[in-house]
Amino acid sequence: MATTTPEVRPATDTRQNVGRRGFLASAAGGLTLAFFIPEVSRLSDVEAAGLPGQVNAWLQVGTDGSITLTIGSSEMGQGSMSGLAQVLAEELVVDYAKVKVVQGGPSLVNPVPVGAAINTVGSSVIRTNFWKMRDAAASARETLVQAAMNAKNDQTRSDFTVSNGVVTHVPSGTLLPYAQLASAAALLQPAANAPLIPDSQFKLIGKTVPRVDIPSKVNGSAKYGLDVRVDGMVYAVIKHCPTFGGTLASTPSVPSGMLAVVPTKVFAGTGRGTEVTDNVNAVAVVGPNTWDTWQAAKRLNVAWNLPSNAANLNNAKFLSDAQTLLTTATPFVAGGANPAGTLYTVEGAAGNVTSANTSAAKIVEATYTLPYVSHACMEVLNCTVNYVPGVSCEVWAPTQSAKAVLSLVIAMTGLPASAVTVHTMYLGGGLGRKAEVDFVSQAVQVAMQVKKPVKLMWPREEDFTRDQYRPMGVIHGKAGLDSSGNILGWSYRNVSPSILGQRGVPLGAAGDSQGIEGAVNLPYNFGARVTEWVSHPSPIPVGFWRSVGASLNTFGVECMIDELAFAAGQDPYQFRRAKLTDPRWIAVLDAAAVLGNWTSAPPSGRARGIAIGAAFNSIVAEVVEISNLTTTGLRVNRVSCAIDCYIPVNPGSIQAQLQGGIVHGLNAALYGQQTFVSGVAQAKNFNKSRMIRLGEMPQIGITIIPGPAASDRSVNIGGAGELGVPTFAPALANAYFKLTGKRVRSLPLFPGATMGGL
Amino acid sequence: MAAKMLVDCGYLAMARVWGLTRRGYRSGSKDNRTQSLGIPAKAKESNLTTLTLNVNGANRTVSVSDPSMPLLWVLRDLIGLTGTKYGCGIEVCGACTVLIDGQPEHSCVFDTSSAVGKKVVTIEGLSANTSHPAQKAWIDHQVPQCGYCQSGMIMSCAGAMAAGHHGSEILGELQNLCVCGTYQRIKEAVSTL
Ligand code: FES
Ligand code: FES
Repeated sequence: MATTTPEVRPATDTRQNVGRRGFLASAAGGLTLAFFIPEVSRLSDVEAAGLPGQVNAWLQVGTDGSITLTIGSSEMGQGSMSGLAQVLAEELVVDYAKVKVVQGGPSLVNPVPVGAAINTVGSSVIRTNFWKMRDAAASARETLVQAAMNAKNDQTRSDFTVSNGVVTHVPSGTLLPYAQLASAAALLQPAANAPLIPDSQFKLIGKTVPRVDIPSKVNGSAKYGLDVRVDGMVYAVIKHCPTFGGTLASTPSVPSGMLAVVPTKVFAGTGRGTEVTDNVNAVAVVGPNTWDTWQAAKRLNVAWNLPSNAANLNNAKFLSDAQTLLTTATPFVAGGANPAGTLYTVEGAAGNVTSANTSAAKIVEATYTLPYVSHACMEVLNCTVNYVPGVSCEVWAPTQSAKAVLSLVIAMTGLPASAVTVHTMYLGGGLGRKAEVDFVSQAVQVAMQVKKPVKLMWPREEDFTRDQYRPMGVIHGKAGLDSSGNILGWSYRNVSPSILGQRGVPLGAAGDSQGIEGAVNLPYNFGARVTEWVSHPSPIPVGFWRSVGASLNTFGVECMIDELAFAAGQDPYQFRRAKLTDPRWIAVLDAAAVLGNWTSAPPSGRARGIAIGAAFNSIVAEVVEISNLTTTGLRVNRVSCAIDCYIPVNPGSIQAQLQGGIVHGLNAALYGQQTFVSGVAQAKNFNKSRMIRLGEMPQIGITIIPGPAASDRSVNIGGAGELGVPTFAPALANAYFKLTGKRVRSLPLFPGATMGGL
Repeated sequence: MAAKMLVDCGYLAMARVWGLTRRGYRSGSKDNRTQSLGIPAKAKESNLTTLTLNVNGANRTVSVSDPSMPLLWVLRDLIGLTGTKYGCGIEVCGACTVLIDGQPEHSCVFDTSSAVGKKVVTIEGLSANTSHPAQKAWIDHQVPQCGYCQSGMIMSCAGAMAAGHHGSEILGELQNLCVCGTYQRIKEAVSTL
């Protein structure tokens, strides 16, 4: 429910009309769906008022009975646009097959209106919008029914039924399609407290329905950011200082055949770590087409000033700093400076653990090391901008955060929001990297200089070497067991660069919430516990990478648990099962064990490992079966995965997302890392960042724990997009131990693996 | 979206940017151009090579300044067929796969001049109405996630099918990289082909 007062459109806006105004006025304090977003009037074409049949900003009912839903999530392969359409269609009671889905633009209104672009991060699209979408759609449905009641002069709701977008007046048998009711409904006060469809009557939620974007993705018609073509467009190719922290020494002259060389600076709010606001850390070469411009950029000799600390920006140094901090970090002081290297106690107390462990029969201790990892989205970073000085700015971007793009463009151009249009294009993978807007700010800078439509591309080599990487981490676990295998005290410390800290977020006593995900609130009976996080000083830019902190911590926690199980002489599955205190976790663990045939011996030459974890409100367990270990690789034969996400909206999409997440986790665990020599990233393309190909694909089985018979809206709905990732690496490492007797305490397993050409 | 297809040649766009008509660009006086652009005359003296390609059954004439411009960029930037994707540029990922005389090739390294006189088929030209069996299988099995690799994947598959291969034979030829990890559904889709 929005409580925002609607802003008034500029008087010159021809789309304003009286009916709308009346609706807006009556809607104040009512439903979000009733609002225009006047300052940000590019919600979509749908929003252009005066269209007959427009019920609200996100719902358009055509006179032909077509239903158009404006959906604000970015589509990067997770099917969330379809998922939201599914939720809306369920409550609207319309035929999903007839629903047309349109991409919504961003809005600065808070809370974000239905239909406007939402951040597509944290596997959040469904889980954070499920109830909001249902409320909005139910209200729209009841408003349409109210219009029918008015038309029939019968105010008895029970005289009306709704099916397939048609309201039936039962006593008279009159059929009133939404198309006939929409114009009248648009003038009504939106229905408040509209009842939701009971779970038992779901026709769409919980069913696998085809994704709306897929046909366009098999015939070349889907338009990704990099596919944008604007009349009169020129092409820009970025060339960064190869060394993080470096700045432009002098602007090179324009190469022959090129239009311009534009130095680009780090715009406020977009820089991380070494990349300080206003540093000119790149140049964009502008020319007639991608290839010629790219070649000119490659040949361009650019003089850079290297940072004085360049020699320190090395993996060996990062590792030794982290190892030192495992024992020497200074505790957080409220109100203090708390520089990098500060120790944050996130839960529990170290003293209690120490005393609990004094009676331990065994102490188990281990240190785990995880690397920086690149995002390596299949589509490189890119952005297209058409800037008309002082008049307008239109941006096409493969972005997970259209709203951040909008705010950025307003800040950069000084234009009002009404003069800025943001088109969220399909993303050829987002993985967290496209939630950043550094590449957008560069494209805007170039456009403002050349004053022509421009498409800026990062060549693959720039994409790898100028990433905001998954942070490295060094994790130390120490726990005591009594003689029956009970855990007496658990201590866990993760030293890792701070994602939020690099974004200027002040860190409170609990440190960086992103850094500690997957390590806290674990429903294991640990006895006494302490969970600590230490901010690592490395200034290499870090960012959100599919599953974020859980990708580090679930590895640390679940490898440690496995080591404890072994020390206790117990089966790793049964050991976990006995220690878990949350029945949902136990059910998920059991489901994975069943699917992975845990209790029967694996085929000869194979071994299994198990792990469980939670992230984004979902619980996931995986059993990984491996074989054929060589010095350069191993075979992952099977992965058996179980998830409890509370309400599985589209099981087919959840299955696909888990499969994808597992491959993502697999690539990272076996091969994924970015290394730095004097501030220069070393892996520059896929050939130096091996990933599996089709022939190496394991057989993946998925069990989805069914949703509740009657859902409780106070229970969080879980995500799926990132959930395949965190438990894969520990389950693999635990299988590796079973196979070889050797623990995997450092990832990736096969550093430096390369990938041959096709 | 205001995007419109640019045909012919990237230099047409440049000519517009520089305030020149295409005609002016080609025949205008050297001094004029030099002054108006502040760019050495030599730049615009670069010899444009004109090539005629058969793409998806139609002849397309393009002009390139750099005859080594790979087919990928000719297709995407000069002809406006953006279904063929750039992933790595070094023949590792396969996102750029097209068929040349029925053979899957990596357009990111394929010399455009070598495509002259051959039949180039891109994802856009694979079938009318998305009716190629591979495309239908991809939809039936809901294969794509982000979808960015899938043009190349499907073209590789179509090449294998054109060579008379089926099922697991095709799988052996699908070496394209999919960062989203759609391989399991690809296997399921291909098993029907
Ligand atoms: S772009 Fe051609 S193989 Fe990767
Ligand atoms: S579907 Fe995204 S890379 Fe293959």
